[in-house]
Amino acid sequence: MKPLPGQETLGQEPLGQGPLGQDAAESGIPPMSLPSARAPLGAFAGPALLAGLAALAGVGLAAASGTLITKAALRPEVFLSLMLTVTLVRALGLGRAALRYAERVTSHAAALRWGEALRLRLFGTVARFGRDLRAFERGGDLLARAQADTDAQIFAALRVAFPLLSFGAVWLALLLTLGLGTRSAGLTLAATGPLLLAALHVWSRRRGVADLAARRTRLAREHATTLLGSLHASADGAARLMAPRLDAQAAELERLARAEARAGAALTLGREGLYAAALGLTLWQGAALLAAGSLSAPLFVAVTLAVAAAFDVAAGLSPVPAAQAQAAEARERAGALEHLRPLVVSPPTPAPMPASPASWRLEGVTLRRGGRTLLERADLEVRPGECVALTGPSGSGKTTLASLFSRDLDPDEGQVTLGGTDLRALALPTLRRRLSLHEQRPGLLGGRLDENLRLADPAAPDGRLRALLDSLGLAHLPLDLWVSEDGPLSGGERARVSLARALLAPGDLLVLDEPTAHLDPDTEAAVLGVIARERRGRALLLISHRPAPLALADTTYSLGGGELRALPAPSPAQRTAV
Amino acid sequence: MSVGDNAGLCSGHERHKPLFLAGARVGETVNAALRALARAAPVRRALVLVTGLSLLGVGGTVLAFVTLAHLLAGLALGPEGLMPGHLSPGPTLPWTSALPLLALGLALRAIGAAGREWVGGRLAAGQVRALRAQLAGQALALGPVLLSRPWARDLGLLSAELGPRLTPFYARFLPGAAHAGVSAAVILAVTAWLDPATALLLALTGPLTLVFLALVGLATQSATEAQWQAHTRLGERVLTLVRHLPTLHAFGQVEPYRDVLARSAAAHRETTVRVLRLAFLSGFVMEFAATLATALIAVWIGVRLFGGEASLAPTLAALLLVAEFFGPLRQLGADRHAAMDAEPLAARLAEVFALPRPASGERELGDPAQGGLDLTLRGLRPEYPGGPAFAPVSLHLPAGSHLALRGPSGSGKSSLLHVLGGHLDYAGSLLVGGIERRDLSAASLARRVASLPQHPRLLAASVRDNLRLGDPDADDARLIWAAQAVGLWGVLGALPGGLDAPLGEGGTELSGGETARLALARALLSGAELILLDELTAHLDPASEAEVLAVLERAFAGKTVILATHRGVPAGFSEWRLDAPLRRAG
Repeated sequence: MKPLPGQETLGQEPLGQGPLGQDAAESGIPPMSLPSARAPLGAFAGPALLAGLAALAGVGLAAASGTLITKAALRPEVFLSLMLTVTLVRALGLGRAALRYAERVTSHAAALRWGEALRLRLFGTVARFGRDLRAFERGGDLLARAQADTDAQIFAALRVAFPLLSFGAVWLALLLTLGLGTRSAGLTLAATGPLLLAALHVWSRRRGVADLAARRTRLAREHATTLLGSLHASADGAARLMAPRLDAQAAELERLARAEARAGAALTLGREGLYAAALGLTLWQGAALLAAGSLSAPLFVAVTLAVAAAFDVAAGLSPVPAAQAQAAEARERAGALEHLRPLVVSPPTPAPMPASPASWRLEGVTLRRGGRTLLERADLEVRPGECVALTGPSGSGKTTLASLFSRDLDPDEGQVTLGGTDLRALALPTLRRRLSLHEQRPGLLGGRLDENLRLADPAAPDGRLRALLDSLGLAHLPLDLWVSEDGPLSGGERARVSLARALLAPGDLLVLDEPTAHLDPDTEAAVLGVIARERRGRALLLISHRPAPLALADTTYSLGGGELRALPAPSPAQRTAV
Repeated sequence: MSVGDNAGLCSGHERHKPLFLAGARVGETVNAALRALARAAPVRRALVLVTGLSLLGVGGTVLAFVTLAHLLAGLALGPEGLMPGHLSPGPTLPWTSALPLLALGLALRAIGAAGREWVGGRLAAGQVRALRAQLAGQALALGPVLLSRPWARDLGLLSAELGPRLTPFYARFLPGAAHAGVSAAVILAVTAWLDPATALLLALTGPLTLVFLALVGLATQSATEAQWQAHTRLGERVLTLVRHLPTLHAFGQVEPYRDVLARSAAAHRETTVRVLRLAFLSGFVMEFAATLATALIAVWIGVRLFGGEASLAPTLAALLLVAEFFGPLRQLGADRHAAMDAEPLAARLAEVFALPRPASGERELGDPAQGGLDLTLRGLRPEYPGGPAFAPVSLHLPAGSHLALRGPSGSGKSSLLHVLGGHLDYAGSLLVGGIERRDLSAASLARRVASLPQHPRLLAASVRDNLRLGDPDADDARLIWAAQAVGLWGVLGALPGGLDAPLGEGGTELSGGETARLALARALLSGAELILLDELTAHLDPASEAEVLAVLERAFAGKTVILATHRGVPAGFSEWRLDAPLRRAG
């Protein structure tokens, strides 16, 4: 499965496509097709209708039951006249259960479908960053919450829209039935007024409730971060010093949770008060109409019972503000992630790719990161077939320098070139296929070992993978071994799997970052032998602070304090020692 | 590689079980853990209160509905109720006595409902705080021992999820269960008095509903859990892939993986929906029972009223109460899902709490001596429950010694440091400053010990905050002194903002060697006299390692320093070699 040209365009297009589309227009790149971020109204329309009908059926059942038994108590001439109501009651009883069931199944199906779209959208959003280190740094916190945020958005429809719709349907039905059926403003107002007030009561408290929920979530995260941070930072001192802060945070969390409980109880109290008011007013107005003969007894009982049942639907409104706030925050964060601009973007009209083999060069490159200058007007060249080693103390920026070649970063000044062409003028995916990367912290996908290897060469036969692993001292690892971020490979094994992957990749520059860290001298020698063999004339940029790998190098540079210096070539004796 | 191979990735074989997904595997213990959480004394007290409020509320509801029914019946059938051929409405109430009774009943009902919510919310707030405190206490007491667990990185998630996962359990499920029990019993009794026929129907349909619920639950639970787990894993999988996008980009595999993701997600959704169709049957049974019982009762009452075998007021009251009989049960069924969400978390909490805290006593160490702590080990063996049996160590370290602890991996270097730091129990004897460690108070020991892990971490905070972890009260001059002592002020002082410069994520990243020296500065500030370093220099290049060792020699002269290392013995350090464990226990 060779990637076709243009297949990776997903990640490499410049930022600004999607919802805004403005930058896309400027850059002349067609907008990328991300799944929509808004809930698909059509998909939820059916379930919403079912939810509304189910709520109506519940209230209708109460009303019809009241009508039925009052009619029966009035003992009409023939029982048959009751049959219509009896059938209605039975139908509503069955119908409500069936409607609720259908609503739950269809709404969850719609929510899952939308969740699927949101997750793909997230994948697409982040894929735009490519390997842009700075973009990942800025988006880190947003990414960490992505899963919870996706859930909050998916279920917002079920937790926000459905209760509102159900309430609206019931309220409107009461208003219309009473208004048109009895033509009594008093009774209509008595039945629907307090009900509307109950909804407005929830609405008026929405900010407070949402604010409490948001503060609690934030503080809980802070508490967790403090706990982990202090554990990691200094195991012992932390216990003594952080305990008071953790206690204070926990106390504040409890206070917030209590405030939420109070707010919830106040909402319930208000609703129950309005319920009492609605019953009283309905009885009063209904009795007057009944006495005047403009309302029949069965209808009177039906109205009273319907009002009581409608308040059940109103109770569903209480959790709405918190869910709404959660979803809004989630959408905001998702939006922020989408509007984050990658700094490293593919040019709209890429220059032709220099023919292979070509030289890779840093030309007067200055690079600053986090307030420090890592490179100051540095020059470096890797000629075809040459092995260049880069050494220097940890943290001096060796890895960062290498990431200039794969355009994880662009230099602040100067340029990086391939065959004389600035990398920024080349199409990113094509550029990256010229490189084979082994990173110091190798990214292994949670999946089978062979899948991880075939990322580099999808067509590699099992035999080739097996032989390569064996030669790297990994004969004990079966190809179908399941690997993940946490195991079961040791650090040294992970590094060698990643190295094997880099050697399999077809690029004409191998970038190997600390390929022999974690290895004992014997294994290191064997691994260096494999590198020398598998290089097959490709250029090699080797980063290490160990002496053995450096002996492979034709040229060695040392990086420290922002300064890149070429070191004298190793003596032939040192070279043959490897 | 065919795309089909990739699809296999999403079929849920992932070895690493994310924290809250481990549940299905240990269903039984999980339930036990959740039940244990419900047995705390404050929970029982709150549930007694809820039961009282529930009685009050249901009593109010009964009073209100009976009054309402009489009022309605009286109004509907006329004051005398005696139009020819009409049935007597039963005992009727005049407005003057009915309205106050109705108001009283509804007020009690409101107080009951709001009170239950308030008590439940307070209970959840208090319990979550208690568990959070217990978790933090346990984490800080076990320190590095806990961090060495494979799931340590999930601790933050565990702490953050306490509220969202346990609040529904404490605030809604437990009070809801009490309320459902009370209201079912009271309403059954009241309807038996009002209209025995209705009570009979309720007594039949209620338990029958539970039986059906249990049957449906049995049939679907395992399928649902497996499916939901697979679905959640899919979410995890997406995030894993998102984290690995740089790798995918490096090899040009983004688009193929997106396709795989899309297809397996669609396949998963379809099976999930199929399972949900079954799972929601339990809700359907509940609804069905509730509404059908209402309909049945209404029709039956109608028939009997028509036949003149009953009177309107009591039967109307009974009909009104039917909804109150099923309402709390239905709510309980819905809340049960939320409670089940808490089960895996409860199991993990139980696991954390079950780790034994190291023994400690009441004795205090004397005033800080100028020269560090002296240590005497006699036949000392670290004791992990079920861990390897380490070789005993006997050794005397005068105050101010610098010791390199060497030995093959698995020989117990880290465990020995855990024992010295007071985080792990031991056999044999360990005298710290002349006092047996297990007799020392944990706080007294903690004040005098600092232990640094292999990878000390920066807080994503200012330089000042990072240093002040060692001494929250230190002024800037002291912080600068400490930074100078570890040779770091040249770097930190040059950052824009100086002490206010942000470090860590989003700020300046320090190199491994610099981070190690920053951690040493913290240890200096903390005034600890026993410094335990677990492979602090293992991942450093020789130059950085030399700098760190120089700092140890210069700034920590006079303090007792123990460095576990697999490298050579640094200058100025004496050496102690540990042998491989004698045998594996268990």
